[in-house]
Amino acid sequence: MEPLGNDVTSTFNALTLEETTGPENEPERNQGGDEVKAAPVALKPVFPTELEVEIISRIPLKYWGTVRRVCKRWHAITLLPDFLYLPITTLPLRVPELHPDFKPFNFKIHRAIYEVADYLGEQIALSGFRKPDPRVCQRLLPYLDHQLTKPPLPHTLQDVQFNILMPPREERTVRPKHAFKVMPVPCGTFRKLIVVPHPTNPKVVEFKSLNRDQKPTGITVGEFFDTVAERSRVRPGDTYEKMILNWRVRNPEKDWWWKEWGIPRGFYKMDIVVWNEGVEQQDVSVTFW
Amino acid sequence: MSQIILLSSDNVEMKVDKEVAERSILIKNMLEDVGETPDQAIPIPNVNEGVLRKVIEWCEHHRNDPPPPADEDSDSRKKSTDIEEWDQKFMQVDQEMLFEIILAANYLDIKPLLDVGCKTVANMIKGKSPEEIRKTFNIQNDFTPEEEDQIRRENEWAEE
Repeated sequence: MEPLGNDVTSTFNALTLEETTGPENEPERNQGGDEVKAAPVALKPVFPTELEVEIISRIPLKYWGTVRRVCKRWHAITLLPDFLYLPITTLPLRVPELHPDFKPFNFKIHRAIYEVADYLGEQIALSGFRKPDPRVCQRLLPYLDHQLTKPPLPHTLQDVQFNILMPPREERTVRPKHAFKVMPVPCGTFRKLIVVPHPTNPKVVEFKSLNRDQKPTGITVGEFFDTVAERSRVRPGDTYEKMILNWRVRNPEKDWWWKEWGIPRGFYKMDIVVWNEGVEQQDVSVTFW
Repeated sequence: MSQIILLSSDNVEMKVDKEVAERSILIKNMLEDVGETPDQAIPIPNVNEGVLRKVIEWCEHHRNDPPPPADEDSDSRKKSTDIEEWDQKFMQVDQEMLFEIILAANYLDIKPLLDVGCKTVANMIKGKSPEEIRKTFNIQNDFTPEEEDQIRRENEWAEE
């Protein structure tokens, strides 16, 4: 069976085209005016696709499993990259550990992506985590919802790593302690992974790419989520306290960004927070530190 | 206050305050193009009398609402399915009328009304099975049983 949703945009376009050019809903009639029942007739949806998109976008994520099973068009709509991306302005920049709505969660993809949280520095970017440099944060702040930091979709990510902080769980075969999984998200050239214990922190396990020296091709946000679902070995019942996505902002070969800010080239960190329920995001205050 | 006349698809004329009618961006743009309040009725060929009356009722109630921000992005409107109490009551109509209101709001470019309509429909979908959703929206199941089973398995982890 063909995998579903690998090329979301083209699938969606094809489905939309099919809808607009498909057979009419009028039943065929013979010369006597009787309805011909031999050939199955395609149903004409109540709403045009643009309105279906509007409606589906308002359905809480926990119902999307059902929504995806309605038809191929709805399945494709739920995988549109811009559905998986939210501007930073409505979201917290840090995992709000003290926020009353925040609690350990079952893994669910929520459209809660926020980006450009902190500056890590090139040397530690691949494995370390550090509090953001306030100077850099100040420089980034005006760009948080700026076109520069919110590129047109589909959005290309590069050098992506996915980090999961897991609490203890008896059923898990790894040590029943907190652990960090760091996983380069496979893309064109990042497919071979190796598990590497952290040199100093026994709780940390890293999945590193064996192809690091190769040039990454980048993936879209939609592909990223597909990849996470397929490859992150997350299973029902697993709980994760925090997930972090590291990515290289823009193309590091273009220095103008760094020059503009007067900072060295490096990695920035984007956090993905996965909630156990759709959080009323307007109630979540934005903090920047 | 100046009034204009709207002509529904079934040729019924309705006098409406210009300010109310201009909740529709389509009508607002038409009036701006004309330059002055027209004497003749403005045809609304895609909306029948019953639906147009409902749309005007909504526009009357919301006539003093501030216009939505020009750069209003999808997230701010889409992030919840909360609906104001008055709008909830307004949307308590039969399903056919509800769908007609949404289509009219889309055609007339009344984004807040479209938003309320879409939220109402989104709320209707909650808890429905795929088959029930297909019936509601007149959608054909184009999945093979294998594909449907695959999607069910793929999304098990994401459901309660």
